Amino acid sequence: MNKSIIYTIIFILTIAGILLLVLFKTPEFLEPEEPGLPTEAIEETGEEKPDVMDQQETPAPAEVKKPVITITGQELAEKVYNRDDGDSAHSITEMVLRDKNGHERKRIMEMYTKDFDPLVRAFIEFTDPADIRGTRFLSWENADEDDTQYLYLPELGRARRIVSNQKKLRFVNTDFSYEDMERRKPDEDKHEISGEAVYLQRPVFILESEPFPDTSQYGRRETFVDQESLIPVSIDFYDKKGELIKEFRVHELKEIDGIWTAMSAEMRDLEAGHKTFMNLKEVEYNIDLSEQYFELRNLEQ
Amino acid sequence: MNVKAVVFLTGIFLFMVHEARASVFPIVVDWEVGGEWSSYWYGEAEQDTEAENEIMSDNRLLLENDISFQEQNFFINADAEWRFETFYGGLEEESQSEVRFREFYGEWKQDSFEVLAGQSILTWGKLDDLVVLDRINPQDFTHFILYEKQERKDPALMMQFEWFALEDVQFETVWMPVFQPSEIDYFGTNWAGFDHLKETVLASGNYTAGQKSIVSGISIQDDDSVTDQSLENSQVAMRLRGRMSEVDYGLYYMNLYQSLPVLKEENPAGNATKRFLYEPTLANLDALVSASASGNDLLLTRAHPRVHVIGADWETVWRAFGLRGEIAWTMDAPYLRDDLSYNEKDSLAAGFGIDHTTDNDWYFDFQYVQNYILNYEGLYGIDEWPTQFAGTVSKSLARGTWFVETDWLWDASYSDWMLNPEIVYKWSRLGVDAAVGIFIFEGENASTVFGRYDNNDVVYLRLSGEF
Repeated sequence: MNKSIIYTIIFILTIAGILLLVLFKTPEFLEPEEPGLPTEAIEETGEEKPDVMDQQETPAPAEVKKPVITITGQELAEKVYNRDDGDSAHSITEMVLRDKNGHERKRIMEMYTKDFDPLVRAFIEFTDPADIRGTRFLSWENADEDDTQYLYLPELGRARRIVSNQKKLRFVNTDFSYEDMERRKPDEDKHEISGEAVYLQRPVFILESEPFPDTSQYGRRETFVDQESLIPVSIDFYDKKGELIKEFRVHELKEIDGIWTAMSAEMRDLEAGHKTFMNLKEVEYNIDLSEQYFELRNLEQ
Repeated sequence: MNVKAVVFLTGIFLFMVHEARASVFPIVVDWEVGGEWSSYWYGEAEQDTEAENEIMSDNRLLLENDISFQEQNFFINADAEWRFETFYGGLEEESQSEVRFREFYGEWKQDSFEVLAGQSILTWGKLDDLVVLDRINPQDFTHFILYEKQERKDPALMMQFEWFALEDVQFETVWMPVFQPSEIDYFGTNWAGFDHLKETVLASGNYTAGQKSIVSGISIQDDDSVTDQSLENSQVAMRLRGRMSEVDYGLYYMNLYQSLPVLKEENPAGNATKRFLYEPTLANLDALVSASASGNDLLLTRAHPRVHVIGADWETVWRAFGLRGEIAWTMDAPYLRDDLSYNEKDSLAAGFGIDHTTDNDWYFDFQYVQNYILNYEGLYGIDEWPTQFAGTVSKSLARGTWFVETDWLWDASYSDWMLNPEIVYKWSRLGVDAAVGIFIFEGENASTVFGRYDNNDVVYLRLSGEF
């Protein structure tokens, strides 16, 4: 047998072995898991696994009350913006992308954030799957300008300054746009509280926000703000023609180290019939994070 | 013990240590093992000569180890690569296999500085595909430009020191103790500089014994004075990087050997040898025969002169566009005169790049480099003002399940160009990508870069994955 054939056989067998390892290391290969829904909830109901979108608690109209609170929409938006989310944080999040045919893809990202009063810097690294492993993203909020953002792609071999004002673009092919991933400043919208409701068995404010011209891809947002945690737990996104185009729903809230946290959530693109589930796998707050984490040197390590 | 055995045994050792690390290391060690593999199959669009290989495969397996000694701020990166190629069709069917370390270095990180020692790949400059300042690592041109710049880079032995002087200012210096040239074949493959010229002449019945004797006598040697593993051949480069407002900038100085060789003659008769190699006509071969060329007349040397490069780069964003640029003054770069005699000249280069992603996810990247040869005299295949353009257009479809991309290069001064459209399917569950594409090379004559490969258009299939 000539050398070419021997090498080819060895190579094919090696790759086949690697693929089998990859396949067997994928949990879904053994037991498909419904993303987004906490396991204990499934166990408690004992029912067939439902689509998590069916689990959302959209309030009935009767539950909607006229606001009896005294704060204004603007004040509520500022409270949401300034709510306690820790001076620093580290989290690992699993993102599951599901298309309208039910095909799924996963991404796992590790995120570090730190307050540089009053602004926030964030460092994100994708750790899975292998084809985006090593992709890193650095974002610095600026007071009166667009954020400064850098992207490190392994195939490029260097950090690249990227445009941060294209907020409409999808974040790594998910249903979240870059705008959705950013902290939106309260003075970029006109806010009004239109009522109260109940979501996840918790009282929420209904906050209507209309962006000032040229500040958003959306025409209007209707946000349910959890009254205790001040976390937006449900957002309906409307385009500039007034049509509902995307829905964001939190499925589980949990208090961790005294800080309320959305443990699982999903974003649904109504036009594409595509969904992205976000499950927080790990989170820790107020940790000792060096400022170097948020510098270019960390991006290019 | 040969290199393959060393690499193999080191791989086994690393694997065993990885498995037993809890008991081996009393200190905290974070060890990640991963890798990537690829299998390219190239088919010649048309077999132009009987020596040309019709089908080639290029297969690689890369095993990566990232070992972090967190408390000590010390990191080790050890990558081993197995590569084998097969060639079908043509006069010779053959295969070649290579096992080697790719990147292999240790890095110590402190608050204000970092030190790296070992075999590494660096990326300097801001342009993506065209080279003005990205000259630290040699490149593998044995497959011409079938692989992108970053993939073509070979790791180089170096020590790198980075000093984070201020929040927005960083100083970096690199010392490379020995010189490692770029890899390029001159004969015997479809992508060699003179492709299958020797085999074709020697196997053909259309040439006389005298002509064959001349052709078989042609040889190309290394310049031992620069490829010797001697500290006299060390190279140094430094860069100052910073940020002013919304602009990133870098200032560069490099004292390096030119890694891509230019052929230098041993005596003036060698220029006739070069003439035949670059323009392999019967008339040029007969000129060698009638001059009774022999010995040093047929001996050429890969010249790698020491060049000094002073340059700068910058990058910013404007509205929805990424903007970047590079400039460089290169001293003593090698060229060939019109009579093909070796020559060195200074040159200036300025590059500009712009990229943009549309709201519906089309990505456009455009790069332009303008060169200027100082004290210009007639140069072979090089104008006084060489101009290059390069670009990429791409789009991901079905949320990244499909990906279409076209890369192109155009040497405006010589009217030659390359086009590389490709479509990729990403099978995300297995982490496998399948791609088909084509490389089209066009040029008016063999003295231009793409003109030399005018008959080498290839269709390819690529399977690749990461784990």
